[in-house]
Amino acid sequence: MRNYFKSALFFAAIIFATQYLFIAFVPELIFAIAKHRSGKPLNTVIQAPRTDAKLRRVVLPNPDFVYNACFYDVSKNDLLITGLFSDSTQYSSLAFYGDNVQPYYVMNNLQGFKQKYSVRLSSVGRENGCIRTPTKQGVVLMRVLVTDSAQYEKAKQLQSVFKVRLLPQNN
Amino acid sequence: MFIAVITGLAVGVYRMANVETSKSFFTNGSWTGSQSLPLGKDNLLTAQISTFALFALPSEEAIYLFARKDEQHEKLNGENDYAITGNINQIKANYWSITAYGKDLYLIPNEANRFSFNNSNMQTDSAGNFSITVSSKKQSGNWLPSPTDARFNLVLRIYKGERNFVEHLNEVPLPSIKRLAK
Repeated sequence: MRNYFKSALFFAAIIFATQYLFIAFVPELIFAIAKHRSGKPLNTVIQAPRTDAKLRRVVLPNPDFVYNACFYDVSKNDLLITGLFSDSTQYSSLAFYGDNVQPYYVMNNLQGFKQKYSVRLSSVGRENGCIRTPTKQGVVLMRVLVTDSAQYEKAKQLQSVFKVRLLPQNN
Repeated sequence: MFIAVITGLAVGVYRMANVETSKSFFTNGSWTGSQSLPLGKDNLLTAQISTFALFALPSEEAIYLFARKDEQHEKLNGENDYAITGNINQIKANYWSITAYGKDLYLIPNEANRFSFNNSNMQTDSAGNFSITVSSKKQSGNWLPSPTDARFNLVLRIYKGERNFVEHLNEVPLPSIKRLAK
């Protein structure tokens, strides 16, 4: 009877631990899959075409947005990100996610940021204008709202001027 | 041991899929959502958002509401037609949209290449009232294509919502989803 109870307890503990660890590591697992499916090296810009039913890389894509993405690794270098926001009330933003796919910083054109942006992303830096990433790998997403064809042409221009460049780490 | 691990994984998947009963989500009519992004240390909510809304923005930036059922609590299915009705001014935000997704959470292929309506491209009457028909068959007016005979989901996105509106999202009137008689 005692052995049976011990076995049941062990079985329950394994179930509890497995489901706990599974849930805890799902975000990192999803990040790894998304990074792999991007098909591009780290620290390079991915310029996505206009979102439609053919886009199967990320679930729940927003068809009203045009995206650029950059999966980054700043373990050895900082990353300089430059580009332009929309010059109107057409929403555009830059969102930074860690390797747990949680956003830790967002800037958009409606918050009073200048149209031209230049931000340094670092895992160690502390100076002004530097965004400190909580994880060495992650992803930066540029979103531009597109609600008509004229806006799409402007969004394509914003996509093309979005650049990333590696910089030496500045402790 | 192996059976315990498999059972543990199954329990994990079940807990993640069980979004509608999660304490972290609120329900308003057919819509379910969370105002809790960024997610902090809530592992379950983080896993759910990562799975069902990958690369979602924090709630100060955008709120995502999901509908898997109509107002009669029946699952949305392409075998039926639905009317989403409301007023364009009832959602106080810079931009909002309603998008249809298949049960695989990807956009639904359709001949019109129409996947969503937003607050700047939907037809309304002079008072701002709108009606979107969700149907697998071509419709006049605001037609949002659904799959022919499969379950589907709707997502209501609210970007840069007014603070007072967003804080009361669990009680403010949101667009209703009604199944239309065949």
